[in-house]
Amino acid sequence: MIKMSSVIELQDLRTYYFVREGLFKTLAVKAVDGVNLKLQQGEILALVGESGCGKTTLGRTTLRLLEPYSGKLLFNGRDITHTNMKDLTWMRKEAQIIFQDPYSSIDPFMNIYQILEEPLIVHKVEDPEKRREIISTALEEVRLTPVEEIIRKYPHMLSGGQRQRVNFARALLLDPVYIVADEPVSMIDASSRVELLTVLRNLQKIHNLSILYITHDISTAKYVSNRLAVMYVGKMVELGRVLNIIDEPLHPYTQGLIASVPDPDPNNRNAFRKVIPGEPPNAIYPPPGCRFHTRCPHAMPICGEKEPKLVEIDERKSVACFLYHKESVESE
Amino acid sequence: MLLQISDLYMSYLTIRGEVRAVDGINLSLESGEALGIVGESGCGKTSLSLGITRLLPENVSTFKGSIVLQGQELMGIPRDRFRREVNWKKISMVFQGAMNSLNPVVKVGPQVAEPLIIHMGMKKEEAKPKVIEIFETVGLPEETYDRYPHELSGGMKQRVVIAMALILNPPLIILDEPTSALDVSIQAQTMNLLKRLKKEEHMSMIFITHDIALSSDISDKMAVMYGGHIVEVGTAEQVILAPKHPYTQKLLASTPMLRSYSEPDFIPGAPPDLVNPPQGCNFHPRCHMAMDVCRREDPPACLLEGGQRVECWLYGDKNE
Repeated sequence: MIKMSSVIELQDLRTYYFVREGLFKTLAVKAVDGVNLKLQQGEILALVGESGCGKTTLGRTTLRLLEPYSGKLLFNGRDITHTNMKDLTWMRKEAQIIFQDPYSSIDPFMNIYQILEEPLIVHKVEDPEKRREIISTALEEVRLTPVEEIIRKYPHMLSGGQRQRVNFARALLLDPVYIVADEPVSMIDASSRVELLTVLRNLQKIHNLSILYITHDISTAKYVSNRLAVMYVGKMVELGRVLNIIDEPLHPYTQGLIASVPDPDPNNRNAFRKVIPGEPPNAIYPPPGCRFHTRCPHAMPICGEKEPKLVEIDERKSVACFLYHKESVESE
Repeated sequence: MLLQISDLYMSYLTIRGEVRAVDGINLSLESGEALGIVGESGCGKTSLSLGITRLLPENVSTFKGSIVLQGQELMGIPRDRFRREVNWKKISMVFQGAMNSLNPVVKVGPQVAEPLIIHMGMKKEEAKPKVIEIFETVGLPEETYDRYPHELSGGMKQRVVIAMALILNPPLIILDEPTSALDVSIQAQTMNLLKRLKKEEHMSMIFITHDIALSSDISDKMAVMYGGHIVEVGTAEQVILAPKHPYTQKLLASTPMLRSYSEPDFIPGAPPDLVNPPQGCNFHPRCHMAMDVCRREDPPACLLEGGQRVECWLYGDKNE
């Protein structure tokens, strides 16, 4: 029985990149290495981690811009793990992406109307009046008004925040159910970030969207999302309600990540920050056992031998760490 | 007083007209102090640092004012002499993404030794122990000397670049977004390193960033920049706990906090176009407190009790 309420479901999903080394050797970069996740309808889930942890790969795999190596990927209950690209046209309307860089993700030679009209033409909205209507509604929803003025402008006439709102509007046009927002505000000025995130939250409410919000910035995740998933070198280490995790992070990696982020406070300068020592390992040769054990202040002998499973602690939190459950070993 | 900047102006000539990137700035820094400069992209914070280090782009049309370092006026020094006598020796700089500007085909040790060889006339063998000593200061193992940049991680390369900035023991180091290309865990390590250098080596620095929270991690004194102006400057306590300029207030309110539950705010609109800045105060089109006078005349620099300085008409009467 498939529960229809999850829009995206990942079952032991793995996405590998293959790199050639020398003439005969091929190495696998295990960017996403066995992730289980369900994204409910109407939920914003923040996927947090450092660069190279696999968060962007995971996001793109859920859109089937990348093909999984193994595991299962369900979209609204339909198995699309290995579906042919040509047979996924239906999904291209249902699922959309917002990219990080608002400067390179829209065509500088098209005006805003043309930029927004294109996906409608591609997906065969034939009536020009209808197209105009959809475009104005989308622009109003992302608060780019007056619409008549905006649609005649070219991207260079807009600020970074406004361009990103054009991207938001473009993602909305085809009435999707699922949006991947990959670092949508990291290139936007601090004073405008919250404005954009507010727009994103409102869009979610208006359309009952499911959003995967990918970011390295845990403080914006707190503002925008319902649940938080923390990734480290291809694995999900902690998952739960965002406020619960920030108040009481369980995994030592999450604890370190939160301790690394300052809030504006003049006392910060008087004390050294508690930091995670070392640097993330290479995803080609991840350490055996728990991938974090090489940097973990609480590492035990078992951590270097066995891989901990993501286990539910209570209905709000799951964590993959032997500090909380000794027996739950990841099966190979 | 280590550094005193008075009435500094700097503008660029572009196809669209003159960009007034630094528009009359006054700042000072004591020895051993860290001054944070905070502002959004395009506010002129990087131009200011390029002006102090005289790394002027070709299209600079105006560059005037006074920069006094340890009692010496720097503005009159010709470019060649400035490069020989001030850069690296007196003021060194760590740029955003500087670790990516290391020469990929030269081992990092000799690259760090370069200022010693060029500026101090040392031989390579003489320079090596100095480099290893400075590597130790920034927490790099000795064998890093013989590594190529691609063999090092981002965080280690960042340490190499900081070591290079320290090698001639300059009285002032300017760091422009030194951690913005790094992951948060490496960023925190780098900030701890800077804190240690400040404490143990009494390093004086100007720390430039767009991130007010990060700035509070190191700065004793903070200057908030907007549209080519320093709109507010004071101690970290004054600027963060009792901000006076509406821009600083809104900027702080729009920072999502991890450890408190206030709903963040935002500033509507976008920063000014410095080719055609608005009349009067640069911030008035986005300011919730704007009055008539703000739209007509430039705001005065007001010195408040406790030494905080604000450029804002709200405090205008206190200037008299």
